[in-house]
Amino acid sequence: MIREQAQELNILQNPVDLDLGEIFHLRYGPLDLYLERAESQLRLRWMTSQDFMDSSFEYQLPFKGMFPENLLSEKRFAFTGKIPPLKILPCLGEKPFVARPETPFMILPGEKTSIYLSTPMSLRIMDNQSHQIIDELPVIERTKTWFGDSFTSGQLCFFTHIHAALKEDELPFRPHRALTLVTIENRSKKTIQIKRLKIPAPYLTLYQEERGVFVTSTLNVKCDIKGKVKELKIVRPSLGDGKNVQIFPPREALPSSIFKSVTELMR
Amino acid sequence: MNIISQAIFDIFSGIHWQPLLSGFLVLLLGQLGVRGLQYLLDLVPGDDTNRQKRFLIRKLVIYTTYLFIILLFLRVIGADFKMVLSAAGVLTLAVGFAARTSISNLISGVFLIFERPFVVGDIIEVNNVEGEVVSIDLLSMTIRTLDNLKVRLPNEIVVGHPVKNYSYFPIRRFDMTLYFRYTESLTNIHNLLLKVAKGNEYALEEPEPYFQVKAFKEDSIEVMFAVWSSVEDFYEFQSSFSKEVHRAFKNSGIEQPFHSVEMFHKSHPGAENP
Repeated sequence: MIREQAQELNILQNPVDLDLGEIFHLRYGPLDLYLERAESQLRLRWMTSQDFMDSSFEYQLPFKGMFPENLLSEKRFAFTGKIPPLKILPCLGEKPFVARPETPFMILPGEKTSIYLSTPMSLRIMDNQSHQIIDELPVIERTKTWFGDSFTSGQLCFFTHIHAALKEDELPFRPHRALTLVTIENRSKKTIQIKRLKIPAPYLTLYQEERGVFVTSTLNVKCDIKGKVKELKIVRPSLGDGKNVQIFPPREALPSSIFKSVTELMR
Repeated sequence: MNIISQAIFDIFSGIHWQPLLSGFLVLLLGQLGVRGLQYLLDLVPGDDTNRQKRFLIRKLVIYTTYLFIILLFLRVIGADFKMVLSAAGVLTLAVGFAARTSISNLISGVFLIFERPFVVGDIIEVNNVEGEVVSIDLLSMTIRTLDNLKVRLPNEIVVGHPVKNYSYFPIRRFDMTLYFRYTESLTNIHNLLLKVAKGNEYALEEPEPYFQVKAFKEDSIEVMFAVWSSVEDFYEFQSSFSKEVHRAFKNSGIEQPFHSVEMFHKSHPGAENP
């Protein structure tokens, strides 16, 4: 289901080349984005709706309507010469995301489970030739949350509604979210309870499958006898047809496991 | 005229030129050496986290080198060390009395630099001054207040007073104290506050907001509602959240109680009725 609808996302790989006065419109889930090439400047207008379930995808180049005046946010970028062709690149967030299952999730001793999550993405607007970053917009509104054992030890993360499922097909299609597979192996002698799950987005690579769908690196987690994360491996995804190309590299290299804030993934 | 010339000649002929010139050469080479040392110290890699320590070590190295150069100079010119040391002792005593505040500040500065209760860029409050730490030097530190005033605080005062560091931990709690009439439903108020906190872009999802009934007062119920925010967003959060709470109460018809006095007029018997 996901893969059939994702086919149209391949169009994002095309450069956006605007003539003077032309407008580009992209409706990407909750994000409504317009780009206009004006005299010596590039205008960006956008608005993000509160509808987390929004799965709209519209790609209009050139957009036939007027440049909207009613959207909330606007930025203008000065260009002395011709505005170069632009690249609209989906990417992962600069902070980890925290997912909260509706009901706590248990993994019994000796069990291994796979959880499929939909990780929200951002859009990076860049010069397609020089790869100069022009701007980066989150596709959904994000609030911050604290992920840690205490008020003093932990990490500031993004919080957003993240869908989770035990089967890939159970996840609803969202064009602005990437599929993340987390495998958790409980090697302890006690049941692990997951109330919160952290997706370390800055350390993940974003890929796009041949058939359009975006996937992130897979997280393989092994828990020790105390139920704490003993081993975290970030590997290339083997989801779907397995044919994927790298779209966006990790923002940060995974530090050594001595950094508890990184390896602490579950609460 | 001859007498003056003779006097000048006597003075200069009495001077031992060779040690004196050697001494000045020592000072000159020493100064060049200090310059070179400063250059080398600047090359030592470091980041902002140990900036103060590097500053202090640099000063210590430079001052020790100067002391060594002066001792070498005195030795070369053949100065009497016993006299120099006795003079230095008396001088130290005099300077010590005169500059005891500065010395106290200096020692406090060393403590501040090594103990690191805060670093440059932190928002702190000390001795009723709140602001961003701009610099920590040997004698004093400088704070830029939130209304953009520069305040210089002697290190002695900073060490001698409690310091609140608002930037030490990444998250901070905003405690809002509110008063309500006895006729209001506390459950409704709690739910309304939670809804406002959830809708605020700067409020953290977790730790969750905390609602506490603090006191049943004479004319109102005192309630504390505490919401967490990241330190970097705190002031925006404080302002926006307060406005949103006020708007929510206004829209819901919940009023904060006013202090009111009810007056009854009682007529005296026999007085004319108005």
